Amino acid sequence: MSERILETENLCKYYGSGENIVKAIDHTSMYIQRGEFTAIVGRSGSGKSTLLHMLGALDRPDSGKVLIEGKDIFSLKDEQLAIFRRRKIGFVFQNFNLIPSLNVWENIVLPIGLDKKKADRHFVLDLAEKIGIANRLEVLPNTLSGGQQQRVAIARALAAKPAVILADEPTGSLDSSTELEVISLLKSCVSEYGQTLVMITHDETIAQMADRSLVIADGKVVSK
Amino acid sequence: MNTVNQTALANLKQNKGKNILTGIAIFLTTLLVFIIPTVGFGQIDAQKAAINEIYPPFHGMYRDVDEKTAGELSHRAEIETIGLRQDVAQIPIEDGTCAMIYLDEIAWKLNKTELEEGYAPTKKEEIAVSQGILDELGISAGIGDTVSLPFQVIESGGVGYEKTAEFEITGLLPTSDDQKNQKTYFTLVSREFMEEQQLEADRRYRVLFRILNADSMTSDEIEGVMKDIAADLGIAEVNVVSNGDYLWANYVDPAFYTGIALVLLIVVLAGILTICSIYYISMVYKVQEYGKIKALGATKRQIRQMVFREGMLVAAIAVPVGLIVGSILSKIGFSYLVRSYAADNMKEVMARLLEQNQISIWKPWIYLMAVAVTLLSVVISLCCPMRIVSRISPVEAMRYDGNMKTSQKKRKGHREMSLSSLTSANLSRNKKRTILTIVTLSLTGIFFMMLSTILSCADPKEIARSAMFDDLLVVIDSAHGDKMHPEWEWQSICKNNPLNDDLEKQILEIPGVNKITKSSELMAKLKELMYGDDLWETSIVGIPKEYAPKMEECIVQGKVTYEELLGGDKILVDKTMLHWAPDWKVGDTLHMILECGDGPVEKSFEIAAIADLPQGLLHYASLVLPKEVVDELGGYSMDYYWSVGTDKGSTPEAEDQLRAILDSQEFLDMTTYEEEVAENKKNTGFSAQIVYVFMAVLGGIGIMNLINTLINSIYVRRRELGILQAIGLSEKQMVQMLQLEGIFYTAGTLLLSLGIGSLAGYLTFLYAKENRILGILSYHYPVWQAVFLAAVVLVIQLLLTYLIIRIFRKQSMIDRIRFSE
Repeated sequence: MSERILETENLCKYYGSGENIVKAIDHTSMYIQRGEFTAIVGRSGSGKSTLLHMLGALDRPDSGKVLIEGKDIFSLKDEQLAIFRRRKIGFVFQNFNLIPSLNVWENIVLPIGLDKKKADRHFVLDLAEKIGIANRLEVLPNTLSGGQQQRVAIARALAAKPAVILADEPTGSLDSSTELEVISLLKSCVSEYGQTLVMITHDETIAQMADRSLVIADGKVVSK
Repeated sequence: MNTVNQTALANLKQNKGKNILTGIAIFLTTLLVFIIPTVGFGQIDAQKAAINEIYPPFHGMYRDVDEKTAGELSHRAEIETIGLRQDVAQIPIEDGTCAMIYLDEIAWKLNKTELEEGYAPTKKEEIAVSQGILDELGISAGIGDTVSLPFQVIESGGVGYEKTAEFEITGLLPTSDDQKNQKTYFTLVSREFMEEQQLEADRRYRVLFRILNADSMTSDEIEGVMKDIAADLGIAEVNVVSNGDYLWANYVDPAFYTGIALVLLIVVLAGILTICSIYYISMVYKVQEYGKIKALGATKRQIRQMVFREGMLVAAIAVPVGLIVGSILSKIGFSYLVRSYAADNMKEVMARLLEQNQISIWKPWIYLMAVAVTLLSVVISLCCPMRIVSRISPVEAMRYDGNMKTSQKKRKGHREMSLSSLTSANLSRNKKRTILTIVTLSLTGIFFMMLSTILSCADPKEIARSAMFDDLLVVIDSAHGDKMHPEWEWQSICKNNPLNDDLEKQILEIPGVNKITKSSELMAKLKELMYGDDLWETSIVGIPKEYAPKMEECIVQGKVTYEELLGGDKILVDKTMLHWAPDWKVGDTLHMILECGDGPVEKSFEIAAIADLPQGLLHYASLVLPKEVVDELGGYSMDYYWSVGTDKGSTPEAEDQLRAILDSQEFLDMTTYEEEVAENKKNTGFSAQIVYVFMAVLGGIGIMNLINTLINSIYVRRRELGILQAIGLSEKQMVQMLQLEGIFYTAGTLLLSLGIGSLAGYLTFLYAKENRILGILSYHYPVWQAVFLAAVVLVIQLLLTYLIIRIFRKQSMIDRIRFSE
């Protein structure tokens, strides 16, 4: 059995109180193995984004644990958590969320810069080549199409060589042909660099491309 | 309530933060727009009210007016009111005069005649007298007593035979020291008595009058109107007398109004800039919402109306609050100003009138003006966001993500990213906005530096020293043009000059006195220059040889030495004279009549040079000659100024002794360096307080702008900041980044404020020096004010960044990222 890179134990996150309580995540325990491509599927409001945010240490749970490489990430202080996050986790958002004032290259190397490290130039150029934006490194994001912007976002997530890539409906804002292209790209990069990919989607086709699917309903993992 | 109003109201509540800032900016603008004219015009009003209390409030008087002309006068449109005075008879007293005068009711008021006790005579046998005349006549009587008084009725040719009549004393008039000393008294009698004693043909009234709408006229205009009426009615010019003291005291420099208008303009501009900038900056995150409303079917007009009404609702709260606070502050500030800085003779009267609420500084028109001006600036400020909002298409608006569309497609960028490169990318994203913010923030700073330079250059000690070379100055106390006292004329005093050898000996004997430097003075009428219908009168100062180097140093045009001036045919002209005679130049000949001790002498001089001389040398003369020349021309000892030098530390004792010596001298006066310093301090202190209070409020407006800029720079980018945090920006790094941005604004603001402000300050100094504003002489950089400005900007910025980060931290990262989803 391969190593568990990501694990949750009895994870809970509630919003509101009393009658209005919303159990976004309700005693969820799950794990993800290193190098695996996992799709998290569920209806709108099922709690999948909340789960992803907690896996990525963006939000703290009410109770339970998230373990990355066996380490309980919420035992860390905020400052340490930020550092842990930028070294171990790469995010890909639905809205690309590139920084509009920075050009493509700067967007990609930003997480490395924030970690006060020098970018591995060969690696980043290689990455840019692979995702097909090598000739557009100086342009500003708003001149790119949605698909191109998402490629840049993927490159940004991969550039710091994190162990885990968390993608929140990365193709939600793209048309169907671009969608498949982007997913394949993401998948191939992840496997090439030996990273773990966790992706939220409500698209069955995409879910089927994954090694494993987790279905979430009412804050609980209902099938693995 | 219709939809547009409802939406505007809802927006008002939702955009609380922005609207509070805008509200404060509007409030401060209203405050300034209200307080400046209120205090300014209040000052004028209070001064006028005090003058009316102190001086008889008639503008002028016509003498020797017959009954018919007096009647015609009362019907003239230019005249506001007239009062009649008739001198009926004279009571003969030894070596003095006592007139029996009839005053009508208005003349009583215009002449400020008041009884100490009792009432005005109305019946034939009634009279009001002063204790002075009773004493003079050796009568002991009081109100209600009947006295027998001798009198001679005034007739056309002179006075008639002496008669005696019984009078009942109904009122007591005050007796002044002047009356006692000069034995000039008067009594008041009734109209009945006047009509009985004098034939109508013999009556020659003095008509006291006020000109209609004189408040909006200058003194010259008022005198012009008087003369015109006199000419129309055939009143000889010698019989036109203007109430000089009253007119002079009432004079308001027209520059005063220009000054108020200018200051208001600056306030309004600063207000518009700030309100506009607040709306412009905060509009960014409102656009999406307006886009949705537009997509739902709102027309351009409706959208514009929503923005407009939201702004107006804020103004509807901020303006009244501004007016209320302004009313309170202006009242407090005004009484403070009156108590601290009003002229001594007016201070008490003004303070009393204020306390008794006889002066109201709150004027309806200022309220209306303040409301109109502030609303207008709000409307102008709203134009710019209204335009942005109405122009944008619904689709564009809904996608609007807070980032300005730029035509820029590429960016050279950095190879490696760091916090500072991230910050600089942020700031350069919207250069226009960044620059606009820095410029608006700097304007207040630049203005502050300009005013500070002026205040710092107005060094009271330096100015005093330039006006007085030594610590004590003994001056002749003469008065020119007082026909009652020809003995006060300089031409008369010089024949028996009290600044004589005897006095010199006495002064030099005072311990601590080490020297006396003597300057002389001569009055002159310039034949080439007119003042109205008369020749221009000025004085020539005769300077001693000791001042020769200083004099030569100050020459700005031409060249002359003290020795060359000794020839007596060349003269030095002070630069200020060119203000009145701009075409004078070196080499011109000036013809003048010198008022010498033994009568006028005609003389001409060639202008040898033009100099910019200190008052210590010039003593407010405009022409300069060596002392020997002036003394020779004057024919007597023309010493007018004795500058008394004292040893260090012995000045106060020397001053006391000198004062004791001068006490017995009628025509000598003394001023001291310390008095001069105190006077200058009072002047600059007054300006400084006004200026700094004004700057503080203006600065407040600027700070609203800074708060808005910083809050928005974070608010607009909250999603972006959330994402940066998601990809690894730690809390510490975020704080550093925001601080860096703040420091950039601070540095930019300081650079502009101090850089351009210092330059503008220097130019203002040059202007002030040229025009002798506040007596400024040399440039002093306002070091403390610059340090203060830097400290204030820095502290405010750091404080704001700290507060904003605290607020920001309250929101979770997820909320920030979700903002877009």
